[in-house]
Amino acid sequence: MDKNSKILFTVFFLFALAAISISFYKYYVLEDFYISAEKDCDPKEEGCFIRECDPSSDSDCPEKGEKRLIYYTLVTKKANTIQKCDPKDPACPALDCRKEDGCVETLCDEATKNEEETCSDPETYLKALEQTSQPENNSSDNPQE
Amino acid sequence: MGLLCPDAIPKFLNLFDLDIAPRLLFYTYIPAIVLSVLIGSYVLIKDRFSLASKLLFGISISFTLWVVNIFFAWIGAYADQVMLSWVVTPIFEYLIFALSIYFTYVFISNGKDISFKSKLILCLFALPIFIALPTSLNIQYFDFSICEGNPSPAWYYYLYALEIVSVFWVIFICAKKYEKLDKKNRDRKKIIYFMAGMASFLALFVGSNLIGQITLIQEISFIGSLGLVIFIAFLAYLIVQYKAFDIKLLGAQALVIAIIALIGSQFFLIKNLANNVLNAVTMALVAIFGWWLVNSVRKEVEAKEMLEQKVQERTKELGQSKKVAEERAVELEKWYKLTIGRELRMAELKEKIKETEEKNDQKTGF
Repeated sequence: MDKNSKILFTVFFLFALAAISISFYKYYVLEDFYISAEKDCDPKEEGCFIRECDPSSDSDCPEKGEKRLIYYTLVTKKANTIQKCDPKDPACPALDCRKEDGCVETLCDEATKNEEETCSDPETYLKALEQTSQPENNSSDNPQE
Repeated sequence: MGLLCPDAIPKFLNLFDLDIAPRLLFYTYIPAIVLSVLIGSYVLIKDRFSLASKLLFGISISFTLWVVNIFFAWIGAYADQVMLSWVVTPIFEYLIFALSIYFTYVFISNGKDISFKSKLILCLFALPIFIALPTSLNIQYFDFSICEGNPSPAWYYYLYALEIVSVFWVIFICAKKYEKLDKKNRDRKKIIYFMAGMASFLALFVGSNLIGQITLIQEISFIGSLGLVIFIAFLAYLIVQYKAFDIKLLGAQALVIAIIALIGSQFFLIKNLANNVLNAVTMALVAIFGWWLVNSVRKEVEAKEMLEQKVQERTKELGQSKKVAEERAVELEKWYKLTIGRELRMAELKEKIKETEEKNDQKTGF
């Protein structure tokens, strides 16, 4: 191999090494990247993203169809601002935006949702809730029925 | 320590959760990298560190690094580990493709190096990858709910476009060389086999990764390792049949190694202890019988080679004897011509003397 080729390949591998080293420092040491996570959402108050869990793959997913719906919003924040703890630990605080720079909470609406995603609307949700609770009240008024 | 992914329990080395990854991940990738490193090292040593063997070894090492990195992305329990694996993936992918193109050029030109300009082009294509690697142009953010990095569209477009172009580049190089060669040239078939192996490897690699990303079913990318196995199989055939890299490898040797690798790969799929033991016994038996088979085939081949050598030596000897006999015949012919010519001349001279004597007698009146 000629001298020029040797110089070229040395420069190439130095560039590769530099790119990997910078990435390691940025993502592993500084944890300077954004994390997007789901946060619980109240469909009575906010426009939430809706997802249906699958009981065949998720043991926590209830068998009853209506309760399979999960309402959530998206929180995007820097990884180094999140407290390091086990997400399953009840003492571990939920991901939330608390006056931090760069933290964004995304509610579901036409602008933020994808084609496959669906949004909940507080008004529609409350109406549907009222309709489902009325027959139950009627039946409880007349227990003989 | 970074942020723990949901559902991950770092049981292995306090860093990894081996239960997250599907068993198929280990079954498909580990035998493929073991085979590629084995054949890469074998060719490197046997072909005495030639340029082609160094490049083949480079491909196997790049593929191994890529697989190790993929393992980290699958079994990493912490967000920062997994994110870093997603971020550095393009470098290893690019190395596999660039080295494959370089290797194709060198292999089909029987070891001749490519020009500096071609090397420069291959290196320049990597520049955007190096620059974009630690930026959001590569991985936009980390999706915590599924514990995966989210690549930007630029990542898809540039890297996958480059990889698809590489597949066609390899086919083009081989087709061009094929056209240049004479129709009776034995190297034509060699090029076809090489192209089939290399193009299958690269096409399956990029195709499975691309479909996995589009459908969000990452398990599809496991098919990519099958491409490497196909490439190794074609390479082994080229070594056995065409003595590629100047290596003498028996077909039986290659087949026994392939069977042992296939049986060994089942360890990554079997969960039951009894089945593991049975698989280990089968593997040991195949290794013993395989060794015996290879030895007997080697003896037969050696005997055949010795016989061929003797036939060649005898033919050579006979050829030399024939040459000596021919030389002798030529000499004899010369001698024959010489002696016959002398006799004829003497008879002529005698006739002339007789005529002269008769003329003299007439003149003198005797």
